Amino acid sequence: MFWKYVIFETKLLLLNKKNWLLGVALILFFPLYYSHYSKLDMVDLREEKNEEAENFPEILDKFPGSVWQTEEGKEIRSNLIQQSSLLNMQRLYLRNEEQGIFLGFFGAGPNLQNFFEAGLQLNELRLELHRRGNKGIQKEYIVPIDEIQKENALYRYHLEHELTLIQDQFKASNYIPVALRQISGVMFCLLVLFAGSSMLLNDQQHPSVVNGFPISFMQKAASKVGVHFVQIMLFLSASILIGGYYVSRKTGWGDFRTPVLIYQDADFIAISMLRYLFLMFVAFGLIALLLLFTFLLLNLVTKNLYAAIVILLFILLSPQLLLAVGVETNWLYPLKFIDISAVLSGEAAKEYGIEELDFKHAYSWLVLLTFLVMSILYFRNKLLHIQKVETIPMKIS
Amino acid sequence: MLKLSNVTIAYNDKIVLDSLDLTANKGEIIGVAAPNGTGKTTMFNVMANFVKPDSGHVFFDGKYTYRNEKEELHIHRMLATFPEQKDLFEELSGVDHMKLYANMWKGSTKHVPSIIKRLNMGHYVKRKVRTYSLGMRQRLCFSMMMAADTPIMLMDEVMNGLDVENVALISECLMEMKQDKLIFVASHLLANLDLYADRVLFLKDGKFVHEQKFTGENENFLKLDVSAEQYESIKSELDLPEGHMFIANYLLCIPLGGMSESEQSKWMGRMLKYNKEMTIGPLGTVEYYEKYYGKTV
Repeated sequence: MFWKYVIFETKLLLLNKKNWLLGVALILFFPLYYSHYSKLDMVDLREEKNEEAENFPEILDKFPGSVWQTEEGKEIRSNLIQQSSLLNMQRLYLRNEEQGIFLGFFGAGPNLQNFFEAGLQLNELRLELHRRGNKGIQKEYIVPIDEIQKENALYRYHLEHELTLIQDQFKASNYIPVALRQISGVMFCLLVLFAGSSMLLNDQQHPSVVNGFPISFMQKAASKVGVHFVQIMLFLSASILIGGYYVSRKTGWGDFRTPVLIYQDADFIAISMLRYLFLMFVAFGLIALLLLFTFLLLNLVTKNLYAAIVILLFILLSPQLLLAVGVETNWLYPLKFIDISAVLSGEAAKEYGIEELDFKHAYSWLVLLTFLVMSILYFRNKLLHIQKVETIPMKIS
Repeated sequence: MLKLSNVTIAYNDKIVLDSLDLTANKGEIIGVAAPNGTGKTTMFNVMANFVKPDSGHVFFDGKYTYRNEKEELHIHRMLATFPEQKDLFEELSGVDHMKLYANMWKGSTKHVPSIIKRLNMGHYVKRKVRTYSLGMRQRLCFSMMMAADTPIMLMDEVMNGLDVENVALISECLMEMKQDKLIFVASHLLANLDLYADRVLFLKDGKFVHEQKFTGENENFLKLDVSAEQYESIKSELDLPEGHMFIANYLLCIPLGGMSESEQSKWMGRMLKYNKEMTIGPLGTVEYYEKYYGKTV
């Protein structure tokens, strides 16, 4: 009976024009946002390295004379000179790579490998200065530790996978995660809420047809949430594929091994774009499940579709709303998990000052919360039936 | 098969069902006759557990009742309720609706084509419901019940919107179906109920005020139309037998039970003065309806 009911719910969902419209809107978002994204001015790696190198004369100029004279000052100066030298070597390797000279001037191996190795050495020197407290260095020239960690993760990934460094930011492989990051958060939540808003509508509008079905409440709930979940995930997949295809026609697919930095175990690691997409997709799935079950619960309790939407939106936006009126909202950090891109990028961990707040932590919370909501639905239903028992004697007189 | 035990339910201090007791068995069609708003639908809703009674219980097969969800499911597997026309899915076809009920209760749709044929629905059943007339929708609702094919069926307003031909068709189907089922039918087509119901219950002020059985022997009455003035005149001139009735201000019913043939002829002769057209027979559903609700049907 369960699967027959699932098929019935699927049929009704396929007839739901509002959800098709939401799907089309999601699919259209990818090409539409690309027209804006493709006009952005991306910072080139060469320019970045040039700028860093140009800072060194100033760093050395502004170094206090009193520190120069000390033993430690001499060591710091030596460190900075080595940094400057490594940075210039990186610039040289980059130029060679651009001009197609692969022999390399300094040391054996291709330019890229040298570039990354030089970069790792440079970052080690920067970290050493951090350990020394960056004595004598102007604040604006200090590279933050998390930036160093991110860069190290990227360099190691490139070395390990022997990838070329200069990537076209406008290729599909680079664009899809950017677009997904835009969807992540309130936008995706709204999409799920509007798509799921019709879950109980059929039961409310056609009671005499559906009320007496010999199927349990939890089976009904599971099938309603299930078909809506599958539809949302299919829309998301379709939008990624169609959006990707659209961009690939303009600039090419790109390389899906391209690294993306994510925050994990209080550190930054680089993973391939494909894995990043997978992590995002799983997170979107978990968020959709949680929201659909929660929405179902609220809709059952309030018996009002719009009230359920408003309450859920208020809950989701409560950290921002409470913060606006000056209330400390750190304890509401699990709500931040609805914006999975912020979790993956480490922004959430930084914002709430919680080191372990990475995607594994978020996944666990999302699963836990989903089970919690499902349990409430289950026990609420049990309770409603138990109340009925109280008026019924066990034996017929 | 089904037992209502002391079922009471009230809405805003208005008692809709008042300590209702009823036992019904397989192979019966039970008609429920009452004007709108007297609690027919509420009674069906209590039977299906769509509404919880304030007190009392519904038992199935002597042991199952709505104790928990497991038992509710067990009961719902053997009970289907008649869908309302307005609740049909406009964008689905008739076949979709029938298959839905067939799948949900029988787990198979093999019998659906034979139902379509039996109810002459072949010419429209594949179209979307929004294109159906009232009669087509009503036949579809009935066909869904046939597709569910449950041992207990609760059919509220089953003949609504049907023409004479289709009323006859559905009545035939009901008679065919009752062999192994318990069917409750609430209908305003009272004369039609007489055709297929084994008994008709009259619900008034939350209680069954009368149960008319068609299976056993029923008392015969001499029935004739008279005006209220004529009735008053008869009452003053004659000593009317005990148990006589003057229904809905127009129908005089004189019980013939216990009278000898000569006495019966005497009463017929006396009545010829008031109306030459008279009938002899038991009271029908229409007459009881008029008796209890004071309305002319």
